[in-house]
Amino acid sequence: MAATGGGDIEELVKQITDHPGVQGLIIVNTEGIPIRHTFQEQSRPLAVQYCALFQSLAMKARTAVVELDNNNDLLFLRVRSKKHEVLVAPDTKYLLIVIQRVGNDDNLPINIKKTP
Amino acid sequence: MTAERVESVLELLTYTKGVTGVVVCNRDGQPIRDSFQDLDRTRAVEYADMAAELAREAAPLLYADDTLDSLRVRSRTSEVIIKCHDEFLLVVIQEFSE
Repeated sequence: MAATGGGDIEELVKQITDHPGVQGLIIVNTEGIPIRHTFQEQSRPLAVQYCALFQSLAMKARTAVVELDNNNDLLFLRVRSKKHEVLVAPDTKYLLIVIQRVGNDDNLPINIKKTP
Repeated sequence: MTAERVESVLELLTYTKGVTGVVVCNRDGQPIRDSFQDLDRTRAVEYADMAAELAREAAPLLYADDTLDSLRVRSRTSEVIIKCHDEFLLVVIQEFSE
C-alpha cells in the first residue's frame, strides 16, 4: 500500500472521517487484516470483527449479483440499521468500510480517535 | 395498513422512474407479490432468494439491541434496495443507463 502513495490514502482517510456523522473507517486487505482504521487501540478487536463480518457479507453480495447476471459486478453495499449505517466499497485488493450515524443516535460502543 | 394502501404503495413504487421491478417476499425468500411480467416468476424468485440470503447474512453484523433496517446492493447496471421487516422483505430494483 505504501508503494501506491501513502499521501493519497491519508488524504482519502481524512476526507471521509471529516464528513459529518462518520464514526469509523477501516481499510481491509484480501486476507481480512485491517491495514488502516480510525478506531482507538483498545477497540482494535472490534475493527477486526468488522473486517471479518463485512468482508464475508460483501463476498456473499458479490456472489448474488453475479448469479443474477454474469456480466455484472458488485460496486457498493450499504447496510442500514436503526442506529447506524455501514458502507462497504469492495475492490480487487482492498475493502473500504465506513461506519456512520443514522439520525441523532450517538450511542455506538465505538471509541473513535477524533482528530481535533 | 389496509390491502388497498399496500396496493397503492406498490403501484407507486412500480411506476417510479428508473424502477424496473418490485418484489414482496417473506423472510424465507418466497415471493408473495411481484411486478415482473414473466408467468413462471423466475426473476421474482431469484431476487427474493437474493434478498432473503443477504438479510439473513447481515443480521448477525448488528449489535444486540439493533435491528436491520435496509440493505442497498449497488452493482454496475442496477441497484437493489431491500427493506426489511420482521416477516417480510420489500425488494426494489432500479437500473442505471450506461
